[in-house]
Amino acid sequence: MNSQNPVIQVDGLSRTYRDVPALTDVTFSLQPGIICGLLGRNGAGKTTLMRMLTGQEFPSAGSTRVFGENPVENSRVLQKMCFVSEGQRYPDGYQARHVLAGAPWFFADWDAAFADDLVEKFRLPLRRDVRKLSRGQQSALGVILGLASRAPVTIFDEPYLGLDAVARHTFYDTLLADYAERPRTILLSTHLIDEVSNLLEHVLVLDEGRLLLDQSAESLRGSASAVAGRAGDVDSFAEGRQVLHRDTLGGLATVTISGRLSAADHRAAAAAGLEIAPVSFQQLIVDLTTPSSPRTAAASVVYE
Amino acid sequence: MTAISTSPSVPRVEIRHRVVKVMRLHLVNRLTYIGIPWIITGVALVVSIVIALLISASTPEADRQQALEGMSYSWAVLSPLWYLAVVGVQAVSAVFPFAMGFSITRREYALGTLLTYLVIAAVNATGWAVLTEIERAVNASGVVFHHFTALWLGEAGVGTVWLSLFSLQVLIFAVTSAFGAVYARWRAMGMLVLWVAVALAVLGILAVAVLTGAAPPILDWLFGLPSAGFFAALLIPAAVAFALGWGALRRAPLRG
Repeated sequence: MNSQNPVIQVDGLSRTYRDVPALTDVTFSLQPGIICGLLGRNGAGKTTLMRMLTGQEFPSAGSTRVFGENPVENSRVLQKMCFVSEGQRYPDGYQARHVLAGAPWFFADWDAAFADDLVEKFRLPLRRDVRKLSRGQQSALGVILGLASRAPVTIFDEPYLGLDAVARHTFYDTLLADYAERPRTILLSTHLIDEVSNLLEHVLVLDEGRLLLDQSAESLRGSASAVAGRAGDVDSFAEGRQVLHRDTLGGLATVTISGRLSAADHRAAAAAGLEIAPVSFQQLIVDLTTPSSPRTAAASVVYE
Repeated sequence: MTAISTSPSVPRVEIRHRVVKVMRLHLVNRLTYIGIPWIITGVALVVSIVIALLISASTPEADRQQALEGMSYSWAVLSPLWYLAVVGVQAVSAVFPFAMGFSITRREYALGTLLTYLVIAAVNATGWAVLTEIERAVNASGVVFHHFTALWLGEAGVGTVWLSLFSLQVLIFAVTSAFGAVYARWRAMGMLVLWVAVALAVLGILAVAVLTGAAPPILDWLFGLPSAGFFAALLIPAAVAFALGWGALRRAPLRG
């Protein structure tokens, strides 16, 4: 950790809806000027967490601090934030041009020329009722808002539902280019993990409301390997190591092993006729967040 | 208003600034607040004119004057007000989540919305009051026609006309957006409880009035009020409704 003050500080944050926990005792902090991925399955609590960071939801316990202050009803803090929500609702009769006309009143760093440029790139119709836009076009509007706001803390919740592959890559490229020129803190939730894996500098993984992982993307890359081969050979290689996941197909098995493998490990694997492959971000997250039953099975393999 | 402008603290100024921006946000799409109420006004007026022509064409000359006077019982002049009830609900159901997406606090949203209501109500009331006066002049010239000069508006002075239209609009805005706020905070269960509470309150007042024999004097008092005083008094329930709405909204979460 460096000496800068964290821009986002979350302590023991919990949210319960009636008796269903949506978020349980989440604690983390984010340094300014990074792109952070918030990953997890549906219902993991990603949106709930983002809503509490932006004062739209109220915590049941714990606290959130943004720029050192509670964001709830705090316009000093909120002015520096832009939250692009996947389910953003728009008033009747609003067109994209209305939305873009209002944005500069609330986002101090709004760049209208940049917004116009993005409207062109995403081919967003300006004079059509926002509610009649396609899912992808509504997402494009959100993405344009988030990028052109240039807010010091920009939060994207599933920003590209319905966006086609071209538009998604336009988003990634524009985000990276603009971020390089104007560093800011960007928190991004997504299911398309592999697509954004090169973008991310930090990763938070939520599972069933709990924070499973809070790690720099750098240290996560190569932190696990997939070992494939005959089941018996694979299991003997995996013995004593932390196995995240195990798949079998006939007599063949693939295990995901946590931790870096040494050169000696690679030699041993080659001698045993095993193949070693890096594990993609997406695979790693899937392995970490799949229901515990297969993992216990894998764990039992390890400790037998 | 003076209370705000005489206190020079810095954050106040900042908030006021953003409150004005919330008003602008409401008025980005002018169709909702200005366009549609005046389209309704125009359409209702055309309908009244057509009806007046039909009455003229179908009644013998001798009865025509009296038949046309019957139009002074028409509620057509109030038709834009019913639409404003929709605006009040929408201000919370649609503009509130949108405003929060623009990083606006609930307090800024509520104050900006209240100011928007007051300004819109004043502008509309002024327009309608002017048209009422014009119609009065038309009537004075001998042409009998009642659209704006109907109900109490026919006899009231221009000040009372303005005040009554202003108060009614503010009351409608405040009550409907309070309902919207209760829904935003507690959803369907909140609506259920609120409607039951309203029904019980009305029943309770009726029961007390009837059982204690207080009903006739209350009604006398109500109808005996000078109309200007009555319409000014409508601002009290409007303020209460707005305060209740704010009470619900200030802790309302934003749901998807």
